[in-house]
Amino acid sequence: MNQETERIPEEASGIWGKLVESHRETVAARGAEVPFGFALRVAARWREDRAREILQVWERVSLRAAFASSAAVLVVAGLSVFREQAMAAEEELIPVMETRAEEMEWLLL
Amino acid sequence: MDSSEERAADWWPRALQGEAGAAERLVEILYPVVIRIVRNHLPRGLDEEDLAQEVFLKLFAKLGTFRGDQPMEHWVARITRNLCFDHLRKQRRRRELRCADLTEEEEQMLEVILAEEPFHRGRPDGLESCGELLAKLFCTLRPEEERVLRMLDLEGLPVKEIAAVLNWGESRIKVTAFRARRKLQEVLRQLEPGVKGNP
Repeated sequence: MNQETERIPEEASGIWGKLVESHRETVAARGAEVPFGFALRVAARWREDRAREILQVWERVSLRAAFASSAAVLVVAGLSVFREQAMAAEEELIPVMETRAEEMEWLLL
Repeated sequence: MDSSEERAADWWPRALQGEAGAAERLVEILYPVVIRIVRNHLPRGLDEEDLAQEVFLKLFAKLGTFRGDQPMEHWVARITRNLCFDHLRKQRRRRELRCADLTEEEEQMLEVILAEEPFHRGRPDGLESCGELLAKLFCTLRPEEERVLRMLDLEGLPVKEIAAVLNWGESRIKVTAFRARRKLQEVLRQLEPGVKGNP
């Protein structure tokens, strides 16, 4: 810090200093006791906010889970339809053979 | 670490775990720290208790982010000051103050102060009037000047601590405070004849 700034007083002076002094005295005269019921009120509000936040998280999670499960159901349903169709097509392509000789004949053709 | 700090440090993990009565105890321990800053940074038209409640709700919402690597009092003071300055910043409008802008009560208060009498004696409403007048005066300054003077003159923090809070050099704090006080003295000097001229 240079010499010039060192000479600047840290305390307020003049009319401003008087105003500051009055303010400090007024603040000190008020004390710092917790007003009756203040702590209970704040804690209750905090718990309410917290419960609301947790509820919102649950809502988001359940919404996502519902979306994921319905997507999974749709995929499974789609796959089973596809599989049934594929199997039906296969049935048409591969005729039912009752004997080994029939099967060999079909393969050689 | 003082005893109140020790107790706050004991209670915050318990409050986070939802232990019954822990949040209430934490409010009781930290209230003097919060209310001292709130009273020195009170925006116009706001009730100190309402603002203190807002501060505590913000503190509790952020409680999970407190790592315990610094005294809890410092962490609380920083959050309180930031919230107060957010409110003060929203209120900033004009940068000029004339005698006509003062209420009768503020004029009376200035008159008493100019007569070198302490204003608060016998005046339970002194803090509100003083705070209103200070807020009007601070509007004539730049935001950083207001911030420095509120911490230096109203809160009575040492220059070194303000330098750490604002991350400024000590010289810059001193020069800013010097210029801001000079501006305020000038505004008050301009108000003086108007105030004294009143019957």
